Amino acid sequence: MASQTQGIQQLLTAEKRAAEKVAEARKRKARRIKQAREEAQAEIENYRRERERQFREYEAKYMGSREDIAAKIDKNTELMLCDVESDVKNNKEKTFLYISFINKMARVLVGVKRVIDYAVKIRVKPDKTGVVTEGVKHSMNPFDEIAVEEAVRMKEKKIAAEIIAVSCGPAQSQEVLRTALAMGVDKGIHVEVSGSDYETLQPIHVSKILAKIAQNEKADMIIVGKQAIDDDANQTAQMTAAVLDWPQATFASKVEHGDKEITVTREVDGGLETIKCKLPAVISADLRLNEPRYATLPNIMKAKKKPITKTTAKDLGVDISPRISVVSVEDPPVRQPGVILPDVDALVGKLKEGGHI
Amino acid sequence: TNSKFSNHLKRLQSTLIIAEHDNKGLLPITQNALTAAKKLGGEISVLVAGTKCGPAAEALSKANGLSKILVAESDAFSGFTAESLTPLVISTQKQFNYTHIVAGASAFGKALLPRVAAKLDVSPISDVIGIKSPDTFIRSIYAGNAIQTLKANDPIKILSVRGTSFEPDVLEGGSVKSEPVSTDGCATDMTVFVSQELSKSDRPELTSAKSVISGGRGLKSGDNFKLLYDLADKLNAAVGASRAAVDAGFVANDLQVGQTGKIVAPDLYIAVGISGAIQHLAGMKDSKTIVAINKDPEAPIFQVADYGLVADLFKAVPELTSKLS
Repeated sequence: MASQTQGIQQLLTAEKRAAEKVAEARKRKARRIKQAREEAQAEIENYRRERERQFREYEAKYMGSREDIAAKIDKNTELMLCDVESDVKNNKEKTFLYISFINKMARVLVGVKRVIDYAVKIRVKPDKTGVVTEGVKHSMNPFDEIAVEEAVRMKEKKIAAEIIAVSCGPAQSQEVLRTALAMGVDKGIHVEVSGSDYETLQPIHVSKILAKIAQNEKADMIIVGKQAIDDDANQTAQMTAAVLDWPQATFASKVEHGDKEITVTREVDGGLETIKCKLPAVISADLRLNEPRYATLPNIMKAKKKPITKTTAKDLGVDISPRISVVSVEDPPVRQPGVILPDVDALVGKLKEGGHI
Repeated sequence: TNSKFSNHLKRLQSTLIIAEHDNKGLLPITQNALTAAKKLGGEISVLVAGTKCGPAAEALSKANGLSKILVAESDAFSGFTAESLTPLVISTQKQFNYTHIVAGASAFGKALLPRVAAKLDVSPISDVIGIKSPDTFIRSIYAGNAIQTLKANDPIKILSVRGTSFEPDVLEGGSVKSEPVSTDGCATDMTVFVSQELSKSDRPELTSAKSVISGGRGLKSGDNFKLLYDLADKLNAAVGASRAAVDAGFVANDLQVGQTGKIVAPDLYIAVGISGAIQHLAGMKDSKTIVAINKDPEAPIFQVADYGLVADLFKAVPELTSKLS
């Protein structure tokens, strides 16, 4: 039994020792893990420090100190604000230029005259003071229709912002203004001139009126017909240009719009001529400039709502006292009645007789 | 005493003619303007302005009755723009105080004179066909359907004269020397001459030709105008056209005869395939002899024609051409 007890004692001791060894190994393992952790942490810390140092170095190298950066940011902000400010300024200028382009480069004045219709055979008054106008069909001077059409086309091409039609004459002149409005003009100005004042109203008066209105309305272009088919004067465009000291593009058959100038093809004796005029300018329309449109019924209805303002030469400060007195208006000499010839031989005979061949 | 007084007035008068030329020579309408100026009485000066004035001044130096030829030669007058010539005329006027300023009623005269007139605050008188006295003039209105006589109240009379209403001055017997005038202040960038495209022709110039043959819509095409050219060659005539023929594209714009085109008054005017609208008649009814060839007997042209031939132009014109050789 004693040996059994001894054996048990030995076993227990061994067991105890084993337990101690295990515990020791555990402790050692824990210590090792702890140590490893500490080492790893230290290593991480070192690495972090190293990176931070590198970063600082980099930072310092490329951006200077923190204080510098703050100053730089402030400075940049200031510069950016400056930029924004000057941008605003520039754009303001640009916007202003754009607005003034809309306002300045594209306000068109057209002159329209009410005349006896071109197809009417006129009659001279028996007292030789003029031609019969009462009860005779009147319409817009054909050359003025072309002027209006050209202005309306400018608006359709976004070259013109506003078109203003002006007519000088008696109350019925409003009819031609309405026609112009129906063709696409925006507003009308009727300069009322009637009675004996109208009988002696000449291009010199009309041009001063047009010039004054052009200034009041800040127009940049005036388009009129090359001549009125009643007085056949062919003066108003030239005189208006002179009063305003603007260039003149007379007898225009083609107008091309540039930035601050127009290129105009003119119909001259012997052919065509091309000129460039600075804006503002006065244009006189020849027959071949365009084919005027017909006003449609809806446009005629719309035209009734468009404004026509009335004024007088006196309101505009223009003296319309007569520069001429009409001595007489007479029929042209009547030609002797001719003969109808039977054939070419008879014609050859007559040409020989007349010394033409 | 009345006539003495008016003679005295006439002596006080002086006219400035603005010569029209093309830097190569004087244009004929200046000779018509010269005749008109002589009807006004008083001294006559001529202003020649251009980039090259020698040839025109040379031609004018032979004119009789001139007191001065003023020459303004400068590149400023390239293209004869009204904007460059106006300050020249104004400064010449300020220096010599003319009572009349005259030019031909051509595209040149029509563009320039009203600009000059406005600068002088004077009402110009366009396309004068007659001069009754130094202040009373005759002109046509309503496309030649009425004749107006007017008295000008302005102190300076500015007239464009219709070439066909005044015989051309012969430019003989004179020997006036030219004198240069200053061209300071004439250069302008307001208007710049770019180019010119003149229709070339060997035939006489339309407004001064002795005979004119015009074609209308009845010609049917531009090619058929050859019929008229062949006839024109036989007659040494210029060729013209109605607005209908121009609008239809048969011929160039500058051949148009009428209220809105050229005004002609030749010895012989042959209207072929032209109906005779008021606007066309305005340009030719002062012709001495008018012949109309038209297949429509009702055409208004027969009312002004001295000789009418109611016939198909495509037969009649070649027949006439062949019978003239």
